[in-house]
Amino acid sequence: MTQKQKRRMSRGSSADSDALSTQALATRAREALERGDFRSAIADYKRLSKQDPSDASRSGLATAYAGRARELAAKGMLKEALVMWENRAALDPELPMDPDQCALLMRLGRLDPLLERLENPQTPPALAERIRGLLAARILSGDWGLAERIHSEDPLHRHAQPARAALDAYCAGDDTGVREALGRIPFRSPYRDWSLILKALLTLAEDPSDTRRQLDRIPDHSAFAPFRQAAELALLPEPVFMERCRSLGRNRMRLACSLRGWPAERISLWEEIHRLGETPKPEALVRLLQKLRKQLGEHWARQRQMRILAHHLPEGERWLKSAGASRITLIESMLLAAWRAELGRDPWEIQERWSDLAIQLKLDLGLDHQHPSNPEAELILALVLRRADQLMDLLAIERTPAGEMSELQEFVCQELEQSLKWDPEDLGTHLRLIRFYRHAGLVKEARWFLDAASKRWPEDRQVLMEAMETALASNAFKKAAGLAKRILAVDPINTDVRERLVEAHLAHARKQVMKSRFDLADKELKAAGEWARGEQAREQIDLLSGLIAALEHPKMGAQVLSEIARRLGSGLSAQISLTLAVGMIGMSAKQALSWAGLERPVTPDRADLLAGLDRLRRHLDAGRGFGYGMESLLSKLLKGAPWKELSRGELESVCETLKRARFDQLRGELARLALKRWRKAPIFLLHAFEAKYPHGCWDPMSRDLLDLELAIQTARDAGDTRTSLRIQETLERSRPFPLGPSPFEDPFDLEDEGHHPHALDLAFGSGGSPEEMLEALRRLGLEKFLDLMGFPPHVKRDLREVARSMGEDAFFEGMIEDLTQSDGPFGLPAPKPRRKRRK
Amino acid sequence: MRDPYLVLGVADDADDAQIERAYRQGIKTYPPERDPERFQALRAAYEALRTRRARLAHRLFDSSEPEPIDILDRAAPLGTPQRPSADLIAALLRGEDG
Repeated sequence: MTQKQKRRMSRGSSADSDALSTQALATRAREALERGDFRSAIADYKRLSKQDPSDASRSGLATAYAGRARELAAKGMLKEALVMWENRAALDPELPMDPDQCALLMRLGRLDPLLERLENPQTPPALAERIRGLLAARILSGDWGLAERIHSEDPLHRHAQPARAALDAYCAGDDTGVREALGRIPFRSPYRDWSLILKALLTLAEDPSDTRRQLDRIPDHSAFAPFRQAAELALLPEPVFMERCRSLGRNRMRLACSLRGWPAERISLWEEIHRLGETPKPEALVRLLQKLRKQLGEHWARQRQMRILAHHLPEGERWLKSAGASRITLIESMLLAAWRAELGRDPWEIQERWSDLAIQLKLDLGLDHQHPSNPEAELILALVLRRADQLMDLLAIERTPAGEMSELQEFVCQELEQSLKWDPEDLGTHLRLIRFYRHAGLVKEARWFLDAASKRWPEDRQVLMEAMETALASNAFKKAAGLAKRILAVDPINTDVRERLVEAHLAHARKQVMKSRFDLADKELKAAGEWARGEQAREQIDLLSGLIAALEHPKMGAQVLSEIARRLGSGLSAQISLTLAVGMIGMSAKQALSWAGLERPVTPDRADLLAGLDRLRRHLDAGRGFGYGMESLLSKLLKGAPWKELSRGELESVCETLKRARFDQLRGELARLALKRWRKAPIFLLHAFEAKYPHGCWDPMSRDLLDLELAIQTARDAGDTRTSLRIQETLERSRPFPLGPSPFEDPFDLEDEGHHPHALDLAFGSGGSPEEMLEALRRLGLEKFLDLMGFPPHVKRDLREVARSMGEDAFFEGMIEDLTQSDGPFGLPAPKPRRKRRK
Repeated sequence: MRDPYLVLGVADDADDAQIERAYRQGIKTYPPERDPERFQALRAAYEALRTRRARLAHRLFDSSEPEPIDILDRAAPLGTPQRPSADLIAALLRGEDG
């Protein structure tokens, strides 16, 4: 017995139906109807009609027949659907014909029953209207003889001619003819929907929103709805249309394609793509690109194949081969490696892969920046050199502690500098290097690029801004003020520059105070006052004025300072403000606090503590320095502060501020305090470590070092990539073995990475012959060799370049010679910490 | 990301002026109130190709996989909209949509 027969058995004549009461059967039939299970509903209502014939069971059965008929029609089983409609009609000859039955009869070409209904005065007007619409559509579909069978006074007959003329004119592109013909069709006509669609289509090119509005007026049950739906498809955005095409019937799609301007070859190509599935497999796309490469353009197709491969290596290489495409070239493989590195988001990896590509491009193209000959290739090279920073924002000063520069950032700076040799017209790279070098405390380097930028873009506002900032960083306050005025002359509402100008005058005033030139300091303060707008700037001016007054006339100055202290709340925040201000003019904080009446220690509340720390942060933001002994002074002030009331985020932020201020003792204490509350929290372990070992930890057995190594994984597990990277960088700086792996790692436990476990040992450790060593290194490969040696990235990069220029074998031979002749571990000198200094 | 050249409808070697012209024409035809997605795509495409530097950067750094619509647009571009044939309309009116 087939599954279908089994289902029939279970629905129609099962024993359980016999056992059911009439009421239970009625309930079951109704439920089947409600959930759209028309076959079960038909079976139950039939049984019910036999057991207890009633209007309700007849009506239920009629509804079930209608539902099933629609279901079958939707599946294209038109004749079977008609049987259902006929079964329904047989239940009650008086039952009005359903409009869907009419539509089905029309589709089957059985027009006589429809014409009979139309002529029958008993037919409800709404149904007659629907039948007229269906017949109108039929006439326009080419059954012109049908119009002749209808009474000549019937609008179906009368309006058929203009409706047909409109169709012919529309298809011929005669818009005037369409309008003229449609003008002869009155509003109340069976051809009304037809007329609306054609009018809508005439506005498709000029006013699609109007087209949409007009099409919306045609109801879904209209005989012309399929045409309307096809027209609506012409209004969709291309990607949406392509998506919808997948579920469209062939004629509707072709009509929409015509209206959208799809030529035949586009339709057939779409059908080919459609056959690849909803989301074509990358392998299939590689094949398709290869097949269509003539139409697509060889270069375009190849480039897209590479882009697919970037996401699907190594298997993608096989697809390329099986599609008949040529093998991946060296440059392509390096580009793929760089793209893949970008997917991995490891900044070192990204920088190295793009740098590798730059080296190769330079070699392949024979570029020489002293003899430029290929502007496009040179620009490409410059862009490649800048890519990692552009993508990862590696020189972001917001994330770099002032005065510091990581090894990676040093590498990035080198690449950016090199990029300017190939593309010196890039202002952005100049500005980036100037800002970064200045932030890293390398003012000489910053000035070198500033000079270059000032020569090229002497009046550029951004260059002037950088010139001003660099002057400030070099304590050239007068020069900075002059530059700020130049900027404000063309951009008077530039608040940043205004603030920096005030800061320049303040700094100059402090300089004069330290020389006891109070008159000149006053002059600078007046100038600062003219430009100052914000509360903070005013506060700084007031504090310095008060201090000058106290230095000149202690009694009067004390009054001024007391008044300022009162305005600042007379708490910890006021103490910190005054201490910081005093520190910048090399004066005794004790004396100043006493003048201001702030000499007594205070126990700050949480708000006062946060306000005080905020003042410290703003002090750093403004690039102001600290006087001698400031950390111990602030430590005293902060003694007894309610640290425990601060949240984890607030404590993290305080540690960062103290790191920027280089207050390592205080930072270490706070980090340890935080670690008591958040045990082994990686960020506080990092702060505690850095504070304890500001110059690196050189004890390989240090417990702190081990704790920090373990914290990397904890941070990673918590999804805190930033902290894990910071820890890694700190470890790099602190590692006692710059040329080898950490003592906490098994140096030959490399199986996870697919390395040959004892390759280095084989090469250097077993006293093999140079030939055996060479063979071992060949097997290992250049990259793995460099990794195993633990060379820092810049050495790796240089060695790669050497290997490329001389060939890997020659490189390995040279290495073996060097290494076997030296006494130390591989005989190579440890790389010196590099600090850039431009000569 | 869609191929910006195809979005703007310009040739691979189009210069700054041609690209700007295509962009202006595009946003005039598809203002945000008419087709917000198309408008956004035009903006993104223009940004990607606005300068020679940007065009080279796009060529070098865009590693996004091609979309089937790009292959379609490139191999068989859209033509001028056509009026459908009377036969096609007739078939639809007869309910034939196989």
